[in-house]
Amino acid sequence: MKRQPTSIDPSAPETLDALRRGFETYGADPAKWPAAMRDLYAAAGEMEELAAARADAEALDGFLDASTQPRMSADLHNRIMAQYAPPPARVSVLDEIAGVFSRFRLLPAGALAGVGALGLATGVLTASTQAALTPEYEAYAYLEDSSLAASLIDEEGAVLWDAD
Amino acid sequence: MAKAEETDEALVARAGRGDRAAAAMLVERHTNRIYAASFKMLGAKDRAEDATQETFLRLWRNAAKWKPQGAKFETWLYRVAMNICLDQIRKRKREAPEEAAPEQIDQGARPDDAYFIGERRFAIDEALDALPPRQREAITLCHFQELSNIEAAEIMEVSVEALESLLARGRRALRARLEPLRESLMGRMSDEATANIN
Repeated sequence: MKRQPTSIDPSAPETLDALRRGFETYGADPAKWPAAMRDLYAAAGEMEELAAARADAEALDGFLDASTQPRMSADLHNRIMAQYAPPPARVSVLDEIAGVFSRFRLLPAGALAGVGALGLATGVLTASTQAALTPEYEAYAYLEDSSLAASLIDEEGAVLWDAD
Repeated sequence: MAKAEETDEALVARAGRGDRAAAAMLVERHTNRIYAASFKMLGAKDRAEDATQETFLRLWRNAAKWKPQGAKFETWLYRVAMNICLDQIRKRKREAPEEAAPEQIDQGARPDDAYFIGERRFAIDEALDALPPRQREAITLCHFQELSNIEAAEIMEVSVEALESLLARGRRALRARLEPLRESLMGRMSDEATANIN
């Protein structure tokens, strides 16, 4: 929209045209006009030639102001704040490096614990296996592995056990 | 602690660093206007509240890296809100085309008809709703939000001349749509005003 001429001639056709366009665009309330055009409005806005344009603009302003007024729910502020989540704390490069080291520090402890658990399991298994052997089986197991197991003779010469 | 005189930009920076009080101050300052603008764009309370919540959600997501880039914070926030509203309008139009094209106002309605028994407001709202979204946006920002033409043009990312064209076309369309009701509406409104005074 063209701005008002530097010296306002209220009856000049271009002044009236500018004001008509102003009413059409911004309505009848001079507070809603651009600051640069308010002087023009003050100088000539009330002229008789503009009565129809002004009345049209006032009527439409009235309609707009009679439209439904927004009424928001009382808890809208709370709902918006409930969405606010502080950003995650920023991690510096040094912190990252420290984190890597701290993870590695856990490794020896983990390995030690693992070896301990394995040893314990082996011990338990061995103990339980041995507990299951009767004296006869122990003897048998010994003789199975022995190169002297071909025969076993007691003091009177009786064969106690023959590998064959 | 957020102070009342702190600029929006300073509050956004603090909210981005996790300062809840700064975030609350931003909500306190801007929710009403963002909601009111969204309501005028969308015409329904629940939709306007959703749009307002979405606007602030985007603010929270961007607060840590938000930079003015030449625009005031409020301009940026309005722009986000208006874009959310325009998206919603487009989505509604796709999903329910008939909803986006409200029925014409019955120009034969007499002053004592339903328009004057509670539906006058509905008729005006419907006329606003029937405007093309960008014209509605221009009227929302300039008439209802009382922003200057320069601020409104900046929010809409158009020139001042383009904004004025949207405003003038929007107002002409509204006037044409509401003209048949003008005499009776204004007559009844002035009666109500007189009754209220008495």
